[in-house]
Amino acid sequence: MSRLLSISRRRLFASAATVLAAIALSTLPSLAVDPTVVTISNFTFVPAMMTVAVGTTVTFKNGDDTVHSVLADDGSFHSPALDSGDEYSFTFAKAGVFSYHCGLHPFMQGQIIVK
Amino acid sequence: MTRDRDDDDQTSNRLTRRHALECMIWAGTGIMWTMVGGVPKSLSLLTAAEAAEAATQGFTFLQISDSHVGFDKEAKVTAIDTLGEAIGKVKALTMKPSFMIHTGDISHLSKADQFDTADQIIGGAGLDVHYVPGEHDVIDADQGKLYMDRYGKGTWGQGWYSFDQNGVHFVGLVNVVNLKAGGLGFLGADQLAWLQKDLAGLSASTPIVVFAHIPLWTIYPQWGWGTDDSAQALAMLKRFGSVTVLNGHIHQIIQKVEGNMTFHTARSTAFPQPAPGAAPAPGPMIVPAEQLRGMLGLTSVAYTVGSSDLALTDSTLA
Repeated sequence: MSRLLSISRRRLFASAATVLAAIALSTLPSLAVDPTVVTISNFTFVPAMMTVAVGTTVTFKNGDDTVHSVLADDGSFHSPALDSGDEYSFTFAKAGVFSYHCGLHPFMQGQIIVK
Repeated sequence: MTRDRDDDDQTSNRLTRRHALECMIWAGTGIMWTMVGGVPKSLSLLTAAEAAEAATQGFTFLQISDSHVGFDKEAKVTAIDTLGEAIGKVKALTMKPSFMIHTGDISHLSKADQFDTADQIIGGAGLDVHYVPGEHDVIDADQGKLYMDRYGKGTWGQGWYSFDQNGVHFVGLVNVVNLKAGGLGFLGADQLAWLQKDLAGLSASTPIVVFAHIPLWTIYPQWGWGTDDSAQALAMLKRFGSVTVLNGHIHQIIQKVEGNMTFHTARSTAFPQPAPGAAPAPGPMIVPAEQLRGMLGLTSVAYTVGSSDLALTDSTLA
């Protein structure tokens, strides 16, 4: 008799939790990330790798407190110095794999894959 | 008494002067002497002005670094304010230093008005200043032209050079241009070839001071705190009896002694940075206003005739 009760109590809690979770998720704002934006945060390009279609304009935004820049390893694009809050956009007209780094802090690296 | 075998290949003039100096150092007679115009002179032959300078048995210079004029993220003060305070302290010194060296990141964004303001404030100390660029000084649209226009006179390549002062040989190196993706600081083949030639004629007893922005030894490669090809430069310096390496870039004091080489990084006059690995990234530490000045400062370097080690004294703006 007590075993039957405990099983049904577990089921009750489980279904209550599911309902609560569903309500919680449905009230969250959309967490969609802009697929054409690279954010510089804590000396890191986020996301480090991004795949875009030919012709896409990618925007790099400096979210740090100090200066960064965005330099293609092959020299195909070169941002000006980006102060805190500045942004730089580049349109990738050709397909390819474009590795880039920060001109001031070259240990910061990223990649745009253009298909 | 040591004597460089290479001295025998020099002209008899140079050999005599250098030899005389070495003899003086070792004899330790305490005779007041100084290098005036490159030739040792006894006090009786000096003018009053020269004698005043000779009165000290050596000289002092200051290292100032990372002024970042244009940066303004700290609470209540800007980099301009704290640079002014640093120069105020320089002006208040009772014993005037002979000159200053600035180990780079003079400006925050390589803007003309930032360089102008830095020059104006630093010029207020009334001292000669020898500069090397930081990575923040070469990010104008022409990638370093603004820096070279202002500070490049008498330098080679992207701004490297050497000079002598009171028997000490100073070398300013540039390790913040043509940085490679994923790499650290970088000197490059041209600069290393120049350095080899620059050091070639010097006797091993010549005290050497090398200054560059990014540390010339590996402190924390994850944050770019090191120079990829500095090992070649350090190998050229190894034969000297006294080498002092002064760097900036990391906005804190880290030092190391290895054989005859002393390595030392200076505080910034603008903002502190975290200790290696103590934060996710080497960005500016934004600290309460009452703590800031204790984390900013200058370094005084004293050379005493007859002593092989230069004395480094760090002070804060507090």
